[in-house]
Amino acid sequence: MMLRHLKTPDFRFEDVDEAFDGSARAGPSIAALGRAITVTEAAALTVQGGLTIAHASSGALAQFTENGSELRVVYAVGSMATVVPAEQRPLALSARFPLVDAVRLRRELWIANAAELNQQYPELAPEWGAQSWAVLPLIIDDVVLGAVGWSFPFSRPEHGFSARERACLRELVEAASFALHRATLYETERKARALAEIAQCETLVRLEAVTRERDQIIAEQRLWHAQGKLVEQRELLAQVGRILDSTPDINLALRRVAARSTPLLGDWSQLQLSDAHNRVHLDAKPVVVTPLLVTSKPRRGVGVRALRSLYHKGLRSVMFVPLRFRGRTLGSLTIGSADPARRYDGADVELAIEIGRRCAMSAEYSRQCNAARRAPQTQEDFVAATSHELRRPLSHIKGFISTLRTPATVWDAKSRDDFLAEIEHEADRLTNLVESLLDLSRTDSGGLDRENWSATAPVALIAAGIDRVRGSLGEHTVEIQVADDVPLVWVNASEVERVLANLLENAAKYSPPSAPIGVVARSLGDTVNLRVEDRGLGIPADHIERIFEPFFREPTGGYPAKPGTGLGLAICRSIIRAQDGQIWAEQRPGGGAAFVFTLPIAQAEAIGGKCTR
Amino acid sequence: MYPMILVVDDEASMRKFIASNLRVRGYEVVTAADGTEALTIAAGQSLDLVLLDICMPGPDGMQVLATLRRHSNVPVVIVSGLADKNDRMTVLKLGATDLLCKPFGVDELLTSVRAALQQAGSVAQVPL
Repeated sequence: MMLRHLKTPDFRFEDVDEAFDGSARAGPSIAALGRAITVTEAAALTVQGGLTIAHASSGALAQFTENGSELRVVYAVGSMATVVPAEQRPLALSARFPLVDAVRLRRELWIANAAELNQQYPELAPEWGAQSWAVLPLIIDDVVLGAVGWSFPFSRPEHGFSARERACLRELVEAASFALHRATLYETERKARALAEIAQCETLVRLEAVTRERDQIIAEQRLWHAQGKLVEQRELLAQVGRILDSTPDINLALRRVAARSTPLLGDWSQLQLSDAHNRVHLDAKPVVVTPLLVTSKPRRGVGVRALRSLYHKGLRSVMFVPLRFRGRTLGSLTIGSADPARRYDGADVELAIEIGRRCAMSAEYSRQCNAARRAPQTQEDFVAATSHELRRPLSHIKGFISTLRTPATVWDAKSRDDFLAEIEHEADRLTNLVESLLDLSRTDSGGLDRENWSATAPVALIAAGIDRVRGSLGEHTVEIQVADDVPLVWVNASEVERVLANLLENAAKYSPPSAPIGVVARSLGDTVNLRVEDRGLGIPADHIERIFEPFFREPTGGYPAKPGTGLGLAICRSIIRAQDGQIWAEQRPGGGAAFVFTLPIAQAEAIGGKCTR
Repeated sequence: MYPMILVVDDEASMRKFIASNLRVRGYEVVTAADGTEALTIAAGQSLDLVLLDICMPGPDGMQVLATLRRHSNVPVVIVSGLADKNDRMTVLKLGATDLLCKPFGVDELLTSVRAALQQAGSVAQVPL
């Protein structure tokens, strides 16, 4: 409530209380104005507010136009012929109307009845039904924004509008000035932003046109000069380097590299990092399929589905190049040409390998950066989660011991045995937890014993894994599928057996009793994929990444199961990573979950040394 | 008539510990293994006190507390494994009567239960 409004010539002390009361009535409208974000919204709330608070029959709000030379009616309710004649919108500042006068003279006009109107504006006739009028300028920081006026269907006694009415309309108008000012600023900013976006789009379109033109020229050059091609290749490699350096987002960088490499090497290209969804799993050697026919046979690491999908893209010649870094394949570069006459030769493959090598280096670097950035947070979370998990069995132990020790209560023998059994059970749980934590820290820090690595047959790993958990599989049967051509893998066998045992135990825990569990071994590129499938409820999509986090537990969905430590999958991941493999979860087609991990194929020279069959 | 207490915890041995100690002293105890079960029980019978675990699968203790508060003013003592000073403020603000931090013994349990019942002016007789 602002008292300064009362210091007008007609100020009377007895009006103060009434004015307080009046301004309180404006409250809800003012609160609504505080939330208005567009000019029209603010104007409507102001005019409507006058109708509600002061029982006006009509009202209008006018604001300066953008160039400030005229007034524009933003919002009007009912006929406002007297204060703003309909035929005179927008209003010139020279016009003789109450709304314009309020703006020009910066003065409130309180016209109590038709006689007063006639006296001040002899040329204006009152509109039908209106008998008194109030017009107030909208002022903020001494700047006039416009004015708002209302007509009332009743005339006023001699001293005109009451202090209460004046106070509440003034309160409303002050709030309206703020709201209009703020909304105008918002709108200006919104417009500026929209303009900037349009300008940016135009620049991009122009840039693309220029790039296309350039690529066109490059293509022509390629046709005309064999020598020119070498220059282009060198320039392309330099550009690939620059693109890879330009952004920390490796996926974005790879898309840009693919787009840049396309014109020189073909019509379509794709760079992909190895993950669960990548359908191309190459070993060290590139694969060239030229020409690409609908009948083309699958090659090592490139499945028939990948070839078909490229053929249906319109490509008639393709090459697949591994992204190699320090002897590992991190992903693949696929390039294709739609021109049936184009055949990829050694020079093309060499250039693609060179591009792939640079991308692989960047991808590995980016992965390491991300891992380093994530580490401290993960560490902190891990410590918090660990102490929480340790406290859980401890709280049970403490609870039951204090139960048994309370002197006032005598427990019968059966209850006492029961409580002691609980204490023992929780102590066992604590022991398991501590052992698992030690395991995790050992495998995480790369402490796996390299001495015990050997070339091992996947089927031997599977058999040993099943042996370890035979007791806890209950009525579940295990169906094993291992193709004849699955090669030996180079692993620490006892660790991989632990992983398999853990995954089998999980599969039993998360599926209905006696539902079969599937174990599949398949060779893919330079790795062997091992897959453990259950027929349970599957894993919710948003948990598929998180289930490998320590202490993340998926509810068993009603199957009876003993709660584990919550560290099993975290240990599995740590073991598989220590052997240069990857592990991930996916949905099993037909329902249930599948856990897949990769193991490196044993190289020929290693097989000669140590072999486990 | 003895006070009726609902014990909500997803871990069976925690429920056993709390329920045995309350029953042996004359309290009436019902138990629930998760938030949904707890709310079903609370809707179906009149309770004098709820002992509510925070970390549970499904709706957690905070959500159960918020739902309970919309329908009743039964005193709620939160049982939590997250021992943090700020947590006390958070649960009290949400309308809990007290916070019991794990691990706790029989004495702490009984003191908290009695205090919560007396504070709520429970009409039932509070056993010693």
